[in-house]
Amino acid sequence: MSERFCSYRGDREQALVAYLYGDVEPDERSAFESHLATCEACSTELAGLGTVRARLEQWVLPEPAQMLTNPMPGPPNDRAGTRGPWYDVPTWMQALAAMLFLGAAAGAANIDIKYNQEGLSVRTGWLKSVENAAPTPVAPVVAAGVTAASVTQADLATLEQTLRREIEDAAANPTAVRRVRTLVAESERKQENELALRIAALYRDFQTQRTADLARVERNLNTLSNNTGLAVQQQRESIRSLQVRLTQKQ
Amino acid sequence: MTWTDEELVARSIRGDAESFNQLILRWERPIYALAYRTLGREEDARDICQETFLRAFRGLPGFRGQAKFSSWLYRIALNLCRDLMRRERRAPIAQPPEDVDLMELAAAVEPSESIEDLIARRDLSRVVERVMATLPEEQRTAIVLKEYHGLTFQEIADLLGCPLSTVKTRLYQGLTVVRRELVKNGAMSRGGAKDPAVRR
Repeated sequence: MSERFCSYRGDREQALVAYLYGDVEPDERSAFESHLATCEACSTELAGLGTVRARLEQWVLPEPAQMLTNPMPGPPNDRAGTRGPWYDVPTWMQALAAMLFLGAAAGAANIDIKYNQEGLSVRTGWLKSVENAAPTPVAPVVAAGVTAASVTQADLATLEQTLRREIEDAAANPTAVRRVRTLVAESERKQENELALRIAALYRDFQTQRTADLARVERNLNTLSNNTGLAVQQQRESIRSLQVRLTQKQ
Repeated sequence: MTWTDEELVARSIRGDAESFNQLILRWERPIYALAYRTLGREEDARDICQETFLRAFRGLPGFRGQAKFSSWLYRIALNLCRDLMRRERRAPIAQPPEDVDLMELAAAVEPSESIEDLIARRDLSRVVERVMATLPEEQRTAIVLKEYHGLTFQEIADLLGCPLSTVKTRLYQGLTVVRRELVKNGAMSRGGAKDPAVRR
């Protein structure tokens, strides 16, 4: 290897890159290999670019919290074929199903939301007769008013039992609990990010306001200083003129 | 039986939703990786990934197979990334470095790898991410498509709609900048040999 400066006759950069990635025609490859054997500049640069490629390999991506077809990372045994059928449903379909379910549930629960001059009122009830009952306006705060007249004590007891049973069922299902925890963790993370952003914005606003205030204070001090200087000057002139008059009288 | 992308596309067009799910399963991670490496933010990358498949699903009837399905997806994703960057008029943002979480490290460490090695590896990953974020979009995209997705020069040229020689030039220029920045950050020596110390 004797050449310290490259005398390659083709496009050196293109040849280097093509050779680096092995994406090169055989005749070009052999020509460039012959050149490499005698060119120190090219072989050094090729080695450097090879190291760059090795470093680029080290860029590891963060594991996404949720993918379209991979709902939630679970323990290893969850991935080994013991998953329930719901896990085989893609996330986007699950989201769609959840929206449909909520819509259907809202319809079944006879939820009535109105916004008028009296404010926002939300009315719920399982019976059609509730439609005729007067809504409970809560203005201007958002609140849910349940028409107590249509709900009996027995209804409430049944509802309580149902809810208790569902909660117990869910608690007994570790997969469901894990999913809920993951969702809660994800939600908390988002809220923390949001909070951090808001604090950063607040801090920025505070700094801006502080800078503006300092500038204003400085400007006022300068004005005050000028005014004081002027007053002192006038005082001095008055004293001087008095001294002159006094001297003249004497 | 493993279907090819083209077969799955044909079945999806005929209304087989499961085939499209197979395509998503096959390509969502590469698309996510492409978006993440282009934009540098996990949430944006997830959104782009989702939007890419939604657009692909809507556009399936118009997909004539003139390009590979993967190239088509890459093009959709890259266009979405560009739109996002243009809309927000921002440079790609690298993930801010976080404090090292020892519990997380302990969970991730391989049996043969010491905590120090793992920290060094993570540091290097962050340095590479930061350096890549400084590249102009064209150079970064060329490197990402070549280095992380293994596309040929010709495929990249077709995807980006530029001559083959431009792709190679962008790659050369990008790699040269990356090399210079890695040297500056202590992630490699000037001559190219490994430098164990990585400056954070």
